[in-house]
Amino acid sequence: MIVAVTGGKGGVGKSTVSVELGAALDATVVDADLGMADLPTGPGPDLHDVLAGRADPVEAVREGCGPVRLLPCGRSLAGARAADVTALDATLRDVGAAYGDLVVDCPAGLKADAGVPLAVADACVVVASPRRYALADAVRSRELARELDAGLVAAVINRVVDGAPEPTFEEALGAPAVTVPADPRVGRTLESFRPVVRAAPSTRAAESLRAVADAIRRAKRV
Amino acid sequence: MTAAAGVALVSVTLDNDTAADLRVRVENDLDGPALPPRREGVPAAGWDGDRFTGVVPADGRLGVGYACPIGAADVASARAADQPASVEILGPVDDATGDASASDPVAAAVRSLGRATPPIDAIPAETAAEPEPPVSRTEPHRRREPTPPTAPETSNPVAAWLDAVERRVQLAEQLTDAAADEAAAAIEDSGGIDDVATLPAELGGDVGALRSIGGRIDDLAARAAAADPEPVVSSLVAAADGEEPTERDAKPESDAPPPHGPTAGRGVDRGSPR
Repeated sequence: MIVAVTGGKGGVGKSTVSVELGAALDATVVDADLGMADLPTGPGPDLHDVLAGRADPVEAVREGCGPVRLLPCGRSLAGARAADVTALDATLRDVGAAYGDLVVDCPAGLKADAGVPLAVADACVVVASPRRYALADAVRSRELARELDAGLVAAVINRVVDGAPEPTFEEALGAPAVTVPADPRVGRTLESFRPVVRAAPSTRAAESLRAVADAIRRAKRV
Repeated sequence: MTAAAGVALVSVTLDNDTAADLRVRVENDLDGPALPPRREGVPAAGWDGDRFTGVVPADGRLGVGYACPIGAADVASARAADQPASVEILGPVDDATGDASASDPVAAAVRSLGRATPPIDAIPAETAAEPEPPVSRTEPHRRREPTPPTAPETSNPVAAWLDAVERRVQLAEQLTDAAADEAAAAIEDSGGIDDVATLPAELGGDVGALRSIGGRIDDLAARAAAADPEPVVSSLVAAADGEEPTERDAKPESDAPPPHGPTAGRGVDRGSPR
């Protein structure tokens, strides 16, 4: 199963939620943010090389370098320019065939680099911030996902401080909304590359993220 | 069909006077590849290689067009051919076959949403192949006048190779997203379709070679800028023969042969991904 983690805005926590869900589902995380990747990378081929036809998709997956298997993305503009987003379909299917479930961290925006992962994915999770304007972005992302046939499993309202309008989100999006409370440990997930679902499993943030993972598992069985 | 400068432009209009939507297949019969219209670099919906499959609506019409490079000599014979393309009716539309444009959601997404690749002008030339920070930042860096950016001592084979690459890149730029008549003119200028056939492969090799060499040049330029042998050399020369330092010693690195072997393992060369 391929799950796309999307959301119109940048900085709402798509990459963090991707890593957390990857850890909770024991899935392989693919950093598909071709222009502005932020998951850890290192020496070796990355998604830019794969999409430019310079590397094999399965060989670019990092195993044992952290808590989750990761297909990282390069950082250079030249790499982003050389990468052919239409090759993402075959890439994700190859990696999925080798490693099973995938969580794809999508870029912000509504261009093809955000749309192609949704077109390939079986389902998607929309991440939003608990601000008033965030609902409109979440609705736009949901519309794009619907157009491209990626069913919305859940909306994650991320970094909630004092109560989020869950019913409003659920009514507007037609999918369950899950609130992830603001927790500095979640904020450090990318920096330290230690997802809270492993490092602090009893926190409320980890419980919420596991609830999203459970919703994905249920969607997979259907 | 119209033909000019070695390129045939084929247009097919299909009329359906029945009361049912009909699926049709249009296949290129000319001696050359069919070049379908593209949006965002992706062929228009329904195209698969040399073939177009689409639906003519009931009591309606469907237009299909494509270009085909046939070579200037073949224009007359192509004009004489009364059937540049063959049309096959595949039968009425049923739900099982569906709409051809929905068959590839990825291509449809790229066509409708548009690619988000950064423009080439946004890519700094000196870092085009170089994601790591400049090496000089981590090294002790003596203050000194920057080396002039011009390289008059570039030897002839290097200049000739770069000129050849430049010609290929120029031609490739002319052919990128070119309309049929522009492409035909560019191909004619460059000596015919046979010379152009190998262009994509050569260009791919050029990209790899340029990035690999660019990384090495950056590395050498940074090392050359960081090295400062002038005080030592001039004092040695002065001590050896009691003369004042000559001008030749001011820029010894430009006369030095290029060093062979590993380039100090700074991970600069990104020509090969593995």
